[in-house]
Amino acid sequence: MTEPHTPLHVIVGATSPIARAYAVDCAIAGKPLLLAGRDLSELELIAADLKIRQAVSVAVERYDASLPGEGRRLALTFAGRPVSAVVAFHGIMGDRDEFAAMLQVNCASIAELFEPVLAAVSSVAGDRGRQSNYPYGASKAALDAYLSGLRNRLHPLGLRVVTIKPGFVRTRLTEGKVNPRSPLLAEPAQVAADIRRAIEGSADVVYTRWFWRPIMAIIRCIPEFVFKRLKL
Amino acid sequence: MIVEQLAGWGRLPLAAAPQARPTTMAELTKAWAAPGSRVSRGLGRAYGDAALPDEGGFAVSALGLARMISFDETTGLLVAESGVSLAEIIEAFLPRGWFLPVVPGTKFVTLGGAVAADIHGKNHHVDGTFGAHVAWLDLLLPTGGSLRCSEGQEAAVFRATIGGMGLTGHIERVAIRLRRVPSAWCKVRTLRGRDLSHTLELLAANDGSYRHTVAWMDCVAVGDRLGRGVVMLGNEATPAELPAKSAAAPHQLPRRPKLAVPFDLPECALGPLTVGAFNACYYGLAKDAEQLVDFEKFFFPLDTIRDWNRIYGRRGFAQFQAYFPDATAEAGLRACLDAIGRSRQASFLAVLKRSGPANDFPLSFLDLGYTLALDLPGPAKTLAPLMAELDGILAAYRGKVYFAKDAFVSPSLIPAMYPRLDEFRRVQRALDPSGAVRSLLSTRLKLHD
Repeated sequence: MTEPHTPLHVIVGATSPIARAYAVDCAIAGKPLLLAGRDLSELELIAADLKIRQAVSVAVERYDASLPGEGRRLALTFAGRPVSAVVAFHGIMGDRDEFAAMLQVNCASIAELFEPVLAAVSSVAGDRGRQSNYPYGASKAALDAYLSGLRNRLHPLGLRVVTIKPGFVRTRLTEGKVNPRSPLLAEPAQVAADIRRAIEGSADVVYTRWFWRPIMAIIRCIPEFVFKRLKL
Repeated sequence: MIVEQLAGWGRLPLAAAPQARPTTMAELTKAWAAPGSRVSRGLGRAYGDAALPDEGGFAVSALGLARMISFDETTGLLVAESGVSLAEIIEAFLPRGWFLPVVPGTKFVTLGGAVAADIHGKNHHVDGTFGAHVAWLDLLLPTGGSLRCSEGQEAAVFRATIGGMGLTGHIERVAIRLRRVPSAWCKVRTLRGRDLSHTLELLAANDGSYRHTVAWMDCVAVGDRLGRGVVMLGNEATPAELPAKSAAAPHQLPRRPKLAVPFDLPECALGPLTVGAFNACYYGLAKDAEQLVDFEKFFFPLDTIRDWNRIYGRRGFAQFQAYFPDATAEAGLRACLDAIGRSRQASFLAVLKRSGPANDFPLSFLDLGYTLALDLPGPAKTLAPLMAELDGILAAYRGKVYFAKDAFVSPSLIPAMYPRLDEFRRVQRALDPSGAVRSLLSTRLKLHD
């Protein structure tokens, strides 16, 4: 069992497949967890599972990223307890009609969270707007810029901000869009392991899997007059 | 839902079909209610077509719902979602001194699959099947809605679901009684059987004094040596019987390297020559001796090699598992081994087990007698004549096939093999009047009509 003063690890959006894999990693490492998300009954199932398998302490808290103020309310539930990190996994993907909702869930909600270490899952889609999903990409680009500025502001105080940029991961978001046998498609557990290494290390911006960093570097370099002609 | 290439472990047959992969209870309910016939699917370890959807249907994966829900440290009762694998249960509980009451030859099966196929292990003559240790289960009914059933509540549904190959609904949760074990090791005695009757005799003579018994048989040996085999007899070891190093942590499995077959091997890799040589060496090197073997190696020898089914190459393979009652076992097994030997469709592994009395689940497989299981390399076309011959042998000697292994048996034989089929059908039809739950297997073997 974990010591009562062991700092709490907060996982937001904890029902997502990547968050679930990450929570397993944390539980194996003996970190006491707080799982936050919209679906309380699912959170309770996940918490029970972690407690049975790993004998760690796991608490759950309802959290709805679509509602402004939820992040501050969540922070109050663990106020006064030492926290090792807050890791935000939540996000939605939609088209132009849902752009405002995406800005709220994918970016503004995260602006309410900060802690000794704040890690947020962004996306390679934020690196450049492509015709296939630019409203989603734009919400992630906003998140990237926000996290970059926050990191810049908090660095002198010794606080860390980690931007995590996954490429294709085998989840609901890629189902039917990415060939299930594609070598670019990562398993949630692989991404979770990359995230854990990033948080335990000293990284600022992490691409997962690693090969997305050079791929996106190339994509960012393509001049706009060429890029606008590409079918991406 | 996206279309996936689905197959059983033998990769015979293959089917391209949509598969829903729900990861929350809400998603499961929604996926289950989609139009078209459906069948639940776990880790795909049934060899044939048991977890393949019927023509035009879809599969519902249990793997996204794999949470352990509660565990009672005093009684050993574990409640978990059906997608939890036996491997995960062992990983979580063996270090704490608990083990599954029954395990098959691989730990990579789901809890739901273990119930649906009412799996058996090396201890059938002592502990019966997996289903005998299920306290209750939750079933997502073919018409929607969840039903909890047990021996005391909806007993007919409970009994039809255990061994029911998923046809009564999607198993959502299972309450299984784990068993305390003294260590993660077995004391194993190895004996050699000269021929079939000697091997059978060794199994029968020792089933009173050993919890786990199994014989490996050489399918290539013919004539006087037909049915020669290596009999392994095991009892769980107490910490006092372990060497000092292991006795300190008696429930800890030794670490071993992970191996995998990274690609499909060419078909010549497993021909009559290589298999014959392997079998002769295995028999020749086996000594009549006693040694300590850890659970992993004793119960799941093939699990150390991931994707071992690829050794058969792209042609795939069938598994043939037959049960014969005591009275006809020797003659029936002799006829099977003889037919397989003559066909020169060499088999890598042939496993013979003693089985105990039947349970009260209408589609459960085993009864007092013996069961033989072996691999037969594909493709289907070259297997058909041998399979037809084996059908004749099964009919003549009151043999029976195991649904979780089968892809070939003639449907006309099923009612005689499973005399309680009509009882199962009545329960199944009452639960599923519109025939919403079907598999390639249930249609092929006419389990519904």
